[in-house]
Amino acid sequence: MSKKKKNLFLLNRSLHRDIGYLSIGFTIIFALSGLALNHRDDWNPNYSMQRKVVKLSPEERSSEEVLSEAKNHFSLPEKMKGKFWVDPNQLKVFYPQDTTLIYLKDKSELHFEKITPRFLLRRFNGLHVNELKSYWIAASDIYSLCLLYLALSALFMVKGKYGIKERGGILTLIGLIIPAFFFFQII
Amino acid sequence: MKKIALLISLLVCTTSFAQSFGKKVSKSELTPISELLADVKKFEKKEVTIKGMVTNVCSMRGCWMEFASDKEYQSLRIKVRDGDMVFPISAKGKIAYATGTLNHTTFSKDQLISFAQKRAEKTGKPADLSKITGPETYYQFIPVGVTIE
Repeated sequence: MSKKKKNLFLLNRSLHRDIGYLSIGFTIIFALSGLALNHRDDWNPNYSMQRKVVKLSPEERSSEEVLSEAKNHFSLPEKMKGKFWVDPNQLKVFYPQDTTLIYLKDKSELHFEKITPRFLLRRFNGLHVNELKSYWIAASDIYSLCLLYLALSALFMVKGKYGIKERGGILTLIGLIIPAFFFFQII
Repeated sequence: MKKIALLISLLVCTTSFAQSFGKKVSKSELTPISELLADVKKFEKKEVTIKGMVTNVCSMRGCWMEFASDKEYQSLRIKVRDGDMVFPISAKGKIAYATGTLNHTTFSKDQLISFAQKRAEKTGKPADLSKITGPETYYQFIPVGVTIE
């Protein structure tokens, strides 16, 4: 190997190492939120929900009576944010702390719902789907370029039987074939 | 200690601010939701601003909200493309404004039956197909700007 080639080889390794370190935080965020969002048909990746249902005696109640009865069953904040009759059978009452009370008149049921954001995942997912826009776009663009560099530079990192011409090449090919199989299923 | 107090008060102030998404909402001329839904043709493709209490929010992607109308038992869905705006769950019960246009889609009876069957499959609850008697038109408000107070 010529001296110039050796220098380039060493530079590539150093850059790969340093960019790899830089990418750790971003990779954790995107990988964890990617897993969480991939399965959003099976669970809510952003919020955990607490639900309780209480059956009331079947009798006519005004919204004030519903509210006062609800306090006997659930721990509700003192002040409500607002209330709304969705239809003649369904009353929704909104409280702070993402708490909702639903009264189903025809079934004489009180439904209590409290939604709590998942502390880390809510934020990771927000970053993954770019809720913030602004500077986060630039930061995640840079991360994408870093990933691209890490992928391409890896091809020239190792020589010999673990390099691109032998084992590395086979693994790279597998890594291309798997997405290619799915690629052609997209119309 | 003073710095911490200042930081906390700043945080408290920030959380009590209105949240805005997209373009600036003009609150000077409001169109009641009932008026909008009563004369759909008049407002077709016309940009208007509506106001209402948020009665529901998409808990999966935050891609829609429902506004209570000024008319009893009436509400209107505010829908954005996934990721364009992400409405927070905490908006429920708050007053919000949206500037945009009304959009409507009509689904055939067969389409509605297919939707109900898919929903039943997903939720495991039986679909009540007897309620589907014919085609139905659904209205959605497509906002360019939203403010939640």
